[in-house]
Amino acid sequence: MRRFIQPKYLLPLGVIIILLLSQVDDITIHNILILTLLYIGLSSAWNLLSGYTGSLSLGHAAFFGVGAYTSTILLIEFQVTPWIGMFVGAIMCVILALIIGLPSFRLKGPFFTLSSIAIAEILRIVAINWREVTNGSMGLRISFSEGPSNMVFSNSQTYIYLMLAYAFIVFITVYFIDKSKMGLYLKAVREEEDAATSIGINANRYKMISFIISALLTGIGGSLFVQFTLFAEPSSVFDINLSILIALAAILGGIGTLYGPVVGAIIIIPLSEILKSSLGASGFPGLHLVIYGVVLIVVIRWMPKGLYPTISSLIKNRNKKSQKTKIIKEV
Amino acid sequence: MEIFFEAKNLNKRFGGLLATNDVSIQLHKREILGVIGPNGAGKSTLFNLLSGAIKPDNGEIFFMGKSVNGLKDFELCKLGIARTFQIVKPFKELTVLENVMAAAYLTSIGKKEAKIYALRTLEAMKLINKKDELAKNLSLPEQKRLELTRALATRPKVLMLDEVLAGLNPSEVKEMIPIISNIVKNYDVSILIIEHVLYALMNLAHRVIVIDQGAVIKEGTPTEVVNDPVVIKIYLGEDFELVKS
Repeated sequence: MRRFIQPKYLLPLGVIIILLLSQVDDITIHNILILTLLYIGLSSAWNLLSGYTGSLSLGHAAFFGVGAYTSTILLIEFQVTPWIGMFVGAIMCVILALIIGLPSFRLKGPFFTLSSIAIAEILRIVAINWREVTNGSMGLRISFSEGPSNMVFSNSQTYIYLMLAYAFIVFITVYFIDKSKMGLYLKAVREEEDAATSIGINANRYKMISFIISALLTGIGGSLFVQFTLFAEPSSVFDINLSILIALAAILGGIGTLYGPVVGAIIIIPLSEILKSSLGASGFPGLHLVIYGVVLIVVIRWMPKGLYPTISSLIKNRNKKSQKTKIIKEV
Repeated sequence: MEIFFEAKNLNKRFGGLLATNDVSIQLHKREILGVIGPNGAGKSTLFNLLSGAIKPDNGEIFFMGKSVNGLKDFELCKLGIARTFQIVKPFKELTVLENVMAAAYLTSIGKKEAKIYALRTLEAMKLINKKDELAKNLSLPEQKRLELTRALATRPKVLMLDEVLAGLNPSEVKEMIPIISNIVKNYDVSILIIEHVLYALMNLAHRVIVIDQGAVIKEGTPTEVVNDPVVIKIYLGEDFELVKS
């Protein structure tokens, strides 16, 4: 039994559960599934930069927002299909990453984090004030004209499949990087940058590549999100809480690990959505934030590496013990 | 003998302090060159100049006949000049094998080749039985050996060792010395070793340079150097007199 508790078996199992749940005709469940899958993608993309290289970003909403606004403006003003628009958005994110990456990688530790927050906030303020293009804080509304070419569907199941594909693509990207030379280089840079450059690793170049891939994938997530909500406004797509939630899911699940962000998003997104709707409706608005906070404190106090590394090392130790007792019994 | 790595008239000033004063050194092929000197003599500054960590005010560094002035450390490493750190800097949360593989990738094509070379280097450095341990769980002598192994896995032509013996007790030093001399035998590499502990270099170095107050004061074989009155004076003080036996 225990040997089935392994990522390679759990992953297809998760996909099957998602596909089964998508058949349940309940809009709340569908919403939770869509958001969870979106955050699996976003957190994994964030993890590629912040988890693997150690440059902690709390401004990934910048890329989310740029992706969201680019595809929306292209759709509304120029009737460009979001299928193309999201890649244009991704290219915009790459350009943005190049512009901010070059100077900000000179900053280490908290200074990099602060500058990432500042950039997301600047973009939010630009989006509020650049009314001719963004319609200011009123936001942009995508008209509900259903059709695959507009990426607008009345059936929320389609969005589940779309987000599943997104989460899968991001995960696979990070998976192959993790197993490759680049993954090892990124981890080496995170652990000890001086030592990494001393063995011939061009640290800034690899950090830049991971930043670009991370930004690109986050931007696509932003485009997909607005196609689901049909609405882009500065206070939601450039929101600092979005940046924090992306980071939290990865930190909770296990920062710098392949499966950590997946585990974190599966726990934190349904939890916050369920608590929000159940407690809010039963007359305790805001209580969900208290519970949410307690969960975070517990995890960070007793599992500072995150859920996934802690649990997987527990299982490993148990397996070792059971093997030992087996050997003793046989003797 | 062929000169492999050469520094000419290096100077480095920190404010009012001339940390490196017109230092020239030559490293031959397959040679172990020791650089010694008392505390504050400028050994580490010299090391940092040679490894590209800081830039000299003037002077030039040549590697295989080409000037390598102003190159960054990762560029030097790609050319074949590797270094270790005095204070060990392992990739703590990675396994020993991953530590060495990260270095082996530099000269290997693909993951398989990097892994094979990393394993072979670990085998030679007698760390193979620790390959799946996390680097942070190794003892200090093992971490020093890992530091050496990692630098060696980049297949350097010149290996610069910054006080690899510092912090080890005498029996650990004894273990380390044959490992270092075997590197020169088994790999086509020249070693520049900076050391504070004099006796450690006696059996190891082919040639020793003594620096004091930033300048080279003596150059010769280890025996010549330790019998030199000036060297004895800077190490042991003015009043010490050599008793000839």
